[in-house]
Amino acid sequence: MPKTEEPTYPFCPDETKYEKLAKIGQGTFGEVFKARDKKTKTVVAMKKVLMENEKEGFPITALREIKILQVLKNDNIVNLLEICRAKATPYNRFKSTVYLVFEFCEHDLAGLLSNPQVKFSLAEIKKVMQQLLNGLYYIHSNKILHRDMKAANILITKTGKLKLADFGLARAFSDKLNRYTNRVVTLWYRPPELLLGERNYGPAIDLWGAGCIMAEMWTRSPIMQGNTEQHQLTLISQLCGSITPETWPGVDKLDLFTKIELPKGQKRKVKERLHGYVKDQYALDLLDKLLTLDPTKRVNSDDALNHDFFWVDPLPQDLNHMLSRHNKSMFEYLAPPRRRAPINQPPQPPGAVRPAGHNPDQHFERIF
Amino acid sequence: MFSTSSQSKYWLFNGETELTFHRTEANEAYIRTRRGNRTDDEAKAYFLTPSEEKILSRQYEVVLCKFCSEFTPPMPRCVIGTSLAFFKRFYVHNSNMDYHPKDIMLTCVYLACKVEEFYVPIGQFVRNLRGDREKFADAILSFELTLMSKLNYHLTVHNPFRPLEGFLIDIKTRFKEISNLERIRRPAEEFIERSLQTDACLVFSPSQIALTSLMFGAAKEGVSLDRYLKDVLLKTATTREMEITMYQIRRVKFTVKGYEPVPREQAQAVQKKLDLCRNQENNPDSDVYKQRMLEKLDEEEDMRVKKRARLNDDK
Repeated sequence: MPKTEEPTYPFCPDETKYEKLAKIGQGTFGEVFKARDKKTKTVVAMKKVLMENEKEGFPITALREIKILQVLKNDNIVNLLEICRAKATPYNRFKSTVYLVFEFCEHDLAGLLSNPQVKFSLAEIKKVMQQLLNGLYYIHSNKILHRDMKAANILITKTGKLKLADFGLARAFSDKLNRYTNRVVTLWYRPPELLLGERNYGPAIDLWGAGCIMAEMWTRSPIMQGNTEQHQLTLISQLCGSITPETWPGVDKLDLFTKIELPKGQKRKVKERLHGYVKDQYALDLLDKLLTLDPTKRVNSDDALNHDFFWVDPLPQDLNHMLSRHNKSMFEYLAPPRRRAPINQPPQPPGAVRPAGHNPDQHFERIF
Repeated sequence: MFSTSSQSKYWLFNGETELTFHRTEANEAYIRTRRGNRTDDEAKAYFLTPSEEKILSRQYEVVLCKFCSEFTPPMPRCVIGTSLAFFKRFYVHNSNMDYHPKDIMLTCVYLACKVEEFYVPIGQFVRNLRGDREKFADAILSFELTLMSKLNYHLTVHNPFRPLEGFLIDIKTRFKEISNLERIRRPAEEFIERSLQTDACLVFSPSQIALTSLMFGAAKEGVSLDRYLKDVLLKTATTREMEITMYQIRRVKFTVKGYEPVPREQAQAVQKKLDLCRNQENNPDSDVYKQRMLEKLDEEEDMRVKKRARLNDDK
């Protein structure tokens, strides 16, 4: 009998089919690399599923991401090409690693926004938001919640096609009464209902994030950068007005409503506060509807897409032309340290040093 | 949607003939690599034949169902359906001799719990087993990735329980003349549960199985659904589509009614044979397996030492 026969996986290609070019990000459950298919030369993004510290085997979040992305096929959703297995090596204790292989997108929105050279016109912002809401409309009608909306998870190809990415926290939802975890969504994009302990939430949580991202298209950095859940709620109240049962019927029934300190007597000033950045009245109106405290009154993706913002001049315009002036990939991960927010914990204090090993690969910087 | 699912694209086969073809292929592939200089007769006596493999799979499907039905906390039915679908899919292209069904069975259930959002931590999961629980946990976790890749990461399983619910709702809405429709639910569900012990889920769509279960349940309760079928459900169907549907219903019925439990002695004899001819490298209890794990840990240590040396060189 041969001593050790390597098992073969006819279905499942070997990771050595690809050569890694650079690390381009840190997903919810693992690192992301830019890589190239050795044979076809196709450039892809490979997301590594970390297995080493998994007492429970293959992480359920990764499992959900695979299941969800196999079903979701849409122009505005990142395309999962295949799954491949890395050979077991001593480094991973022979619990071999799995990679999700995606089509490669050149930029993420956070990376683009942090580069002052990249300027969006109103018509281009409309195109970004239209594609984003279109993606949300598609996933919500497939009964999927994204649960991690933020600029860094919005990918943009060099031709200006927008793709929602990182479904590492996503899950299916039902219209029944549910008890999901509320420890989701990066703090700065987390809607008030989650901060107040709601566990029976729905698609509206993603639209709050869409509102935060939309504002960011003008402000160029996240609009509410709280340090703690308490602080985040304070910032929300200062922008959207005090959280009371009058403006939001039933809010007093949420677990944390009485346990957390909520600023009183705050007036809603979404439009006033953002007016300094956003001159377009239609944009302000849509922002106001997205950043609605009461999730049952918050605009849904379908109605948002029908908003006048997208149907009056200037009409949405492709980003193709504007992006053609930039020949470098822009990812938040590779951008100067400014505003990286780890999930479920307060973001690093300003000026915090970035973890080591973030040296952007020169080869990568020059590509495309 | 089922029609665009990986299940309909990759895991529906024409029928028993095609399934037998693949299973025989897996069986022969295993024997080919390990027969050495055994004569045909010796090989036949030593290795499992395709029909013996089938006996074994069937036997473990029963064990799997029993394990699931006694599981605490109680398991939703779709977890049982998905576990069985994983198990059956796995042994379409793999031999029982290569991977022992007892390991794969538990791994299927563990994975199905995750996939169906019925999350049970591994510690709690193995508390449902008697024996060395830590060893079970290790085995399950070490086979999980193999199982996933052998399933080609097609993890979404469409079970017949949902379409049955859909048909019941449809009848209540569009075919009100049946009184007390709920009484056919129980026999219909029993039919689906019985179908899980057969190859039905590898041959028929979940809605075909559900529709047959409905017809079966109705017949048992002395209710006729013929008019619902002809005048409501298939009202706009062509004669040809109608014929195909009726033909498929007959086939499902035939498959499910044809199920026969495996006699215990027969299964035990096959198991004995399996103890000798199984792939020891995939047997967590074998010396080969333990030896290999040790070697790998040594190698790991080696690598670390080398890496450290390299780092020092760089300084």
